[in-house]
Amino acid sequence: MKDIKLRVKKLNVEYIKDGNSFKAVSNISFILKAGEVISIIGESGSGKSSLAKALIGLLPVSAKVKGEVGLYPNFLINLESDLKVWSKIRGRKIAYIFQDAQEALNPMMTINDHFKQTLLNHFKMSDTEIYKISKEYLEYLNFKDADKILKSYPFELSGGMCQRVCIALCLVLKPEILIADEATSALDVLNQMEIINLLKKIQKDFNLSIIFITHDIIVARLIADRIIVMYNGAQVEKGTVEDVFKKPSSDYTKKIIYCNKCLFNLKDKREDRVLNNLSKPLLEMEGVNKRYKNNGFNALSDIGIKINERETVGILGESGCGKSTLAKCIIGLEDIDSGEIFFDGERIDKFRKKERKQIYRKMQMIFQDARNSLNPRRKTIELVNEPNKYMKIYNREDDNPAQDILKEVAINTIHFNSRPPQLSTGQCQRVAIARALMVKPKLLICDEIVSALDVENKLQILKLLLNVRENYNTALIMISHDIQFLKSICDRILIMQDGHIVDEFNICCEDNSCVGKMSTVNELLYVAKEMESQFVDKI
Amino acid sequence: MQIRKLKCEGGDKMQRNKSLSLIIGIILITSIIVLVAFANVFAPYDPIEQVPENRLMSFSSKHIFGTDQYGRDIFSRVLFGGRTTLTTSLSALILTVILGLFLGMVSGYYGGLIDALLMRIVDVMMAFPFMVLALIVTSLFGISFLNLLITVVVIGWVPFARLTRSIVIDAKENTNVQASEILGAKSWRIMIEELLPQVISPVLVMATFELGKLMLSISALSFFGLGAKPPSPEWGSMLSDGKTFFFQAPYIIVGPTLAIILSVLSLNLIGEGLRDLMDPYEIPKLEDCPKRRLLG
Repeated sequence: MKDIKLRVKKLNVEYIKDGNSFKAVSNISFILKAGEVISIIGESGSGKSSLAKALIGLLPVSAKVKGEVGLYPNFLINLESDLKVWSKIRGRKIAYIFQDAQEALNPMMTINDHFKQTLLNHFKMSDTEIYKISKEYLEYLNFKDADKILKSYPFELSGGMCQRVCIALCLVLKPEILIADEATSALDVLNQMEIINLLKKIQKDFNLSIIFITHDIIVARLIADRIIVMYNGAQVEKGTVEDVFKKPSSDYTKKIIYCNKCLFNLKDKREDRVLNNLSKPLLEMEGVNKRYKNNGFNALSDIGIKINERETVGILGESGCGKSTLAKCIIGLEDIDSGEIFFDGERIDKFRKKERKQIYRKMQMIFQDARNSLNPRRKTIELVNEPNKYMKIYNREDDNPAQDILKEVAINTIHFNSRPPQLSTGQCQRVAIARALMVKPKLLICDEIVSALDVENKLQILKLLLNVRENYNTALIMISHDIQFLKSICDRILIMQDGHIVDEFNICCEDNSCVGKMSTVNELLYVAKEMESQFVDKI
Repeated sequence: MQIRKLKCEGGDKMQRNKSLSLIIGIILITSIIVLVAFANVFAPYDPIEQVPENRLMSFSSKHIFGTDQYGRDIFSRVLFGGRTTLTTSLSALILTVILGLFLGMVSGYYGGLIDALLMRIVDVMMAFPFMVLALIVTSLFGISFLNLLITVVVIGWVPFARLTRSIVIDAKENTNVQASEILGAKSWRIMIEELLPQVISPVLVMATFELGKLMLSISALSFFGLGAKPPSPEWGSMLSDGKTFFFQAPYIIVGPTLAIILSVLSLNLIGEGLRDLMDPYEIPKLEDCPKRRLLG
């Protein structure tokens, strides 16, 4: 019993709004031992964040918490206690890392100020002592130039660096339990792997107990000792990693494991695809630069891309590296400062609005936030018909393929007259794809279209895109931060970093030859492969 | 309304409360309009006939709202005065909202030179004293109902344009606007179909607040002879007249005040009800509705 750090018994979280109550977490119980990593898996909305926030008292006032949370030794937390009580627990006993580390840090303060604030809240210390300790911890977390980092502001650091700073800020207070709430979800594979390895290291060195919350079962597989699967606020599965992955008992767990397996297998089928290298170039960009005038931020610098007809090209990069700007520049939602863009033999970067309309008949874009890209007041069938309404593509009503396309993207006929608020996020994304297909585009730009979806929907969209590619002879530009996703569909992957294209990788060639000079891709692919093989082995 | 049809037959408690506010608002404003429009039927006395012996009387069964300093029945004056006040203020409100929405939308959506120009005009208008403008209009164009409207509209559109512009600038970066753009939608379609629904509810809320202000500023214009001329009644001028006798007979402002409050309140309720009704996210999901009870 001595090694038990945290005991949660029948924890319930209920949100009350306008007299209606919504149960986010129901009857969750678990025990966290010293030096153990428990991973809580669930899709968004399954209540995993509410559970984590209940443990550290961060829930909004509208939430009612019931249940028992005990900290070792024999210390019961009153879940409705005030700030005074919580401030003794937060940081010292339980630390918390947020998903968006950059946002969790104060942009007005340097990293050193953050350390100062954190340490002075709990201890009395001189500035030199604080500096020494912070430097020590930053170096421990693989920062090479800790002095420089301490002087920087959060926005000067990358997402992965900010996450490491956040972990350092948690560690200086020597907590017993660390809650990581989707701590790796916003990062690319390389940073993800680094954070996972770091968390493993600190877990060993500090004998820290970690509650790792994620929607990604591969990441959970890599880090956890035990897994809790949550669905709709309830616990559907609990057990050691081996048990859960080898003998999943609940249907939900079986389903997500199956879907992940399929994602890997998809790639193998793709190898049959022979890409005609001689096919005509469809899109060419040369020396494209883009600088945002209001903040002087260089979003794109000297971008050169060539995409052939029917080719699928992935653009990989962390958030903020300029990949979405690139997509907007191609389609003309943003103007470029200099450079040339050729599409289908025409130079399009100087086009005015009227001329642009001709391009929209050949090039379409799908957004990450599918729900918001659809007018919530229109019916599904009207939404899909929008391109026809605006651009008069089909003159006769009989030619209109709207209904067939909707069936093709697996939208049930009963949803033809539904409006977006009545559809699920996955359905919204499929409607958005159907709408783009109405023009039979030669090039389809997909901007992070699966990052808001759970694995089941992700797989469905992916299969759909593979069909689209075959049936419509469409070239695809897939923008994502997820290398596994890109690997399973793309012919080539371009890697972006700080507005530059730093590397290019041809997936079709089996010898894994790197076109670029840097080793980023190899490293990325190596990590992805490692994650994959570890995962597949255990299933 | 089509959207309404989609709502569950049973509906939850919240939903009913929201429709309730709309219904109450509509009932209230219709009864006010009926009372005012048929004032000659409902008013017990002549609104301008002076009866000196009855001056400054308190509430009674004969005079529901009492009488004013000339012995005229305030209830009758409120009914007849509503004709001037409601027609001028409501038509002024509609015109200001339309003008403000249009200019704000154009300014925010197109940006650039149009925006810069319009916003400078807004700056000038905001710095310009209302009364001075009223004087200029009166002296230039003479006194008429149309001139009164022009004066009020010329000043009134500014806050609506500013509000609309700021929302549009924010909303034009949204995915739905960008999606329509790449689907080839024309600018006017984007403005009406994508941006207007996002602008309309804050503008409606603002309009209900502005209505009260409009009623009072129209009464202030009566001071220049631009509004209703004495002895013909008007709610705003009745209030400012009542000011003089407030300490002697505070009850004489109750009638016009109540009239203004009730009409503003009814529009507020309607605005709130409409906003909720138009919110597409209020529609319940198919699976949330009881079986087979989905209408439409």
